Amino acid sequence: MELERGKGREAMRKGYFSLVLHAHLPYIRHEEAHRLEERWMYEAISETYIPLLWEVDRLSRPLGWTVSISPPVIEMLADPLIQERYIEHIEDTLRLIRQELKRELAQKERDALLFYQDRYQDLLNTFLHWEKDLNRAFRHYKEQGYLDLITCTATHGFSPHMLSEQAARSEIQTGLNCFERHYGFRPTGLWMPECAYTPGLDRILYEEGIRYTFVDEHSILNADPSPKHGIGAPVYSPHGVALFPRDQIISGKIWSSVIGYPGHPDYREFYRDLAYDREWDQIAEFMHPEGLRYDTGLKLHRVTGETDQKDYYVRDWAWQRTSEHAADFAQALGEHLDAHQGQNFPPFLVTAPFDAELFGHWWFEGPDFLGKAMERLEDQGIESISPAIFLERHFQDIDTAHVAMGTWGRKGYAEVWINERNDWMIRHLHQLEKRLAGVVARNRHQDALTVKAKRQLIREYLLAVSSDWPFILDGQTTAQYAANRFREHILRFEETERRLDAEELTVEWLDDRYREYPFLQDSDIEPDVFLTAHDYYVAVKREKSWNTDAILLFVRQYDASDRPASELARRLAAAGENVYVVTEHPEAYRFEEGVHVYGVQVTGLPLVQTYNQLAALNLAFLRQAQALSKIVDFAVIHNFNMETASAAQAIAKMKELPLVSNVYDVESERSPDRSGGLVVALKRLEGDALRQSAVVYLEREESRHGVEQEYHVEKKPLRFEENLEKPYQHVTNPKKNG
Amino acid sequence: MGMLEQIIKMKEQGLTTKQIAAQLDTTEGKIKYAWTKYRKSLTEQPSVAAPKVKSKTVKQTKKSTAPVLDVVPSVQVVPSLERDAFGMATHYEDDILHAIVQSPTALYVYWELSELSKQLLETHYHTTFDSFRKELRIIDVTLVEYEQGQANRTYQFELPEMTNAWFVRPVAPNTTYIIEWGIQTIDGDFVPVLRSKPVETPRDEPVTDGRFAEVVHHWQYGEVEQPEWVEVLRPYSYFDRVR
Repeated sequence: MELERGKGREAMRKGYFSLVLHAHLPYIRHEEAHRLEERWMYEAISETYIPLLWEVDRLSRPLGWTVSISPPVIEMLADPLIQERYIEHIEDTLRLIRQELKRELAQKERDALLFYQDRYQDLLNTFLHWEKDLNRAFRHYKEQGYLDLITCTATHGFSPHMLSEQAARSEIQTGLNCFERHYGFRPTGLWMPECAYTPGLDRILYEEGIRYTFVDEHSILNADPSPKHGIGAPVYSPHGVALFPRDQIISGKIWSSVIGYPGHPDYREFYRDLAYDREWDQIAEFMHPEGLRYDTGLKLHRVTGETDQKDYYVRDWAWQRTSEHAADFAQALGEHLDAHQGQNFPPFLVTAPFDAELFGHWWFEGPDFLGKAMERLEDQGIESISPAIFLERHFQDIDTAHVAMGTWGRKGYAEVWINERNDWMIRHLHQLEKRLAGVVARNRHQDALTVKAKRQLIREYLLAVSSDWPFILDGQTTAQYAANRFREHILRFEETERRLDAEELTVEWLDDRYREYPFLQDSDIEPDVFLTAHDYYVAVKREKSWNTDAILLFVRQYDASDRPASELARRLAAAGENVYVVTEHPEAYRFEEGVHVYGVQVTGLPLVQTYNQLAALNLAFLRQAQALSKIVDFAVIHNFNMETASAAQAIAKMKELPLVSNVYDVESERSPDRSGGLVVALKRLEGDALRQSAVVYLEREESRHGVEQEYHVEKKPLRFEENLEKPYQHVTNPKKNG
Repeated sequence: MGMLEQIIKMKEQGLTTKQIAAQLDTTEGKIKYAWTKYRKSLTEQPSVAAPKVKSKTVKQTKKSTAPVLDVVPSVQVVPSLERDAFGMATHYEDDILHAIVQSPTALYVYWELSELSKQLLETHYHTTFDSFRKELRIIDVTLVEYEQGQANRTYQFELPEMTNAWFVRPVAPNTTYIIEWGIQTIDGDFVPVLRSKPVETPRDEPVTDGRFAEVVHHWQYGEVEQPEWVEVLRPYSYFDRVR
């Protein structure tokens, strides 16, 4: 009865179901054999990727599934070294099974082993059928129309915590490039790592051609304005990316080990492996050469119940159980859709995104369940649909809202990726971002070596930014490996950068580096993602002769007519000098009669005390001078106001520049009758600055007494008007004097 | 070449124990034994197994290697930095304070202060950097212009010495914050030295009367040049403020 109804179009239920599986592992390929972490990949292939492919092949029809394969997984699947070692791993396991079968065993234990023997042989056959590259299999089924394929960012970095737009874009674009190289097309959907979203990420996604991604339920429920269909439909982000929300009720049935299916007593027990049930001598040959015991993958027991006394796994029981659970799931999903059948434009959609490795690796029978569930969904008249198809049909019926930062991690935000266990990492990543921007801005030559170096630097950054490292540190298992890998890529970045700057790089050295982590081809990486239009202008278009032997003038009021600063600046500029003025002004920059005039202002909450206001002013001057110093080589700093003396002194001292000071009057002249704290402080500051100056110019003869007598300046102050033509002839450069 | 040397070489080439055993025409057990013994000898002599990272320590004097650049001259890049036992920089010669979201009620803030900035403060206040009272100021700037001196409310607290990061809790959900690191002067001012870009805490409940419907509409219908909400992933220009 159910079957017949399912076949009729009129019997289709209203609403949709969309299954999304995200396959990801960090890039754990090492040239050195026997690295423990490489087994994560073998386990994922044996327990998840191939069993899922078996189900797709068995059903051989459009399933509406969307599979996201992350670039590290794609690259490792395509890697000949991993492929060969996987075969060896399977052969070892088969040898272990044969050895075990020679022992005296309980019948149920023997049966479990025989099951694994068949299974591992099938795994091997399938692997060889696809010529050892499972990318071929996924691509084949995609081309058959059985499933949809998307990918993820290059290394699964946690976007909301990146410093710059460029870093997020590099992750996204590089991931898409890698996927396209292997799969021949560019998907319009992208799995964002950890379902992490933050406002503005959607702008980058949209610009990179992405039209949909996934978020957790609360991200949509808390959107503003509140979406009228709740999680029953995706929502457009303000920049036009459809955000599909995870349905936690439906996901929970599958995912939760407490209320979900995987905890059933008939299913395979994850935490009981043959390796821990044998004496060392019996299995030593199959363990790590350095004497470490690790999972063989032969887990011969079932969940059994809440007990440590686990019974042997009975494959038939588990198989039966998946049938029952698949039927139960289809039934529950049908009721869920029926409960929302009042929803129109669009009809109710259940989105169910999962980590792919949940099916098979954690829940061993998961792939069987999924295959059977698809059949039962058909019985129930439930249409399984990919987000891409859903958007084709219903793109006009979707609300737009502001969606706040959110993830699918613990408590729904970022507690997993930033906490007391892993927060030391973030500053290093941000420094790499800033330095990458610097490297691509400063190194505009396009010779092969430089471009290759830039790509290697980005490769190291991407390998470091993987969210897996802070995730593992949060969980504290294999924490040392994660911390080491993170540090390794930071240090490799620094080493590469140092050699680039020192011109010590060779193509051979870069090739060696690449061979150690052959992740991404150079063509996947576009170095200029880190270049802004502004940096391109400054580095290439801006007049280069402006950058050398420059004079830095600090003038609080550049336009004051009673002071000689602007006259001097123009005179110097006319004589061919590079003159940079920093002044207090709302206009950030003007180029005026050959003089570069940079305006700075103190912003934010007002300060009460004059001397503290001056501190803030000096900081503002300092920041502008720091920014200019990235490209302009200053030969002298000339300070026209005692108010900016702290910044001028600090720069002169730290950058080893000669300081020239102009004095109009001194504090003892300005406030002859005051002796409060402010006056004392200003006097001290002025005195320090004048004593540190290479040359002190008096604008008025009247101030000579104060400078010489009160501030005890040893060098004889000169009259400014007498030196207007060559104001720096008395300056000696402390740097040049050594 | 002795067997151990051959094993080491083949290990470096990425061969598995089994492959090595086949090549050397011996048993896997013997290979494993030799290898394990060798590895053990390494860990017993720390000098041999000295961490690689040491050699990677970046050392560069300030002006030594002026790289030959096609377009952009001057400016050294990687300053010499103090390193920890793993070879990682313990601090960076940079002026940055950056805030990220941990949860609707918590922000994470870290900062770096350059020697130049410290020098300025010491010069201005004629005292040592250690003697300053350092504080964080948390400023709620939701829907106001902080640059113009507007703020909804602020609070600040003293930081212990030698801190370069802080989890700021609690903060309010759905709120825009700017964080400042600064010094509290004896005459009662807070002098901000480092300032974060605005960061917005997420909402943690459905909205009833929200504040985004209008601004989303403005943006959607092209009525504004830039969205009127906080987007943290902004372009970073290395030559920012150079024209």
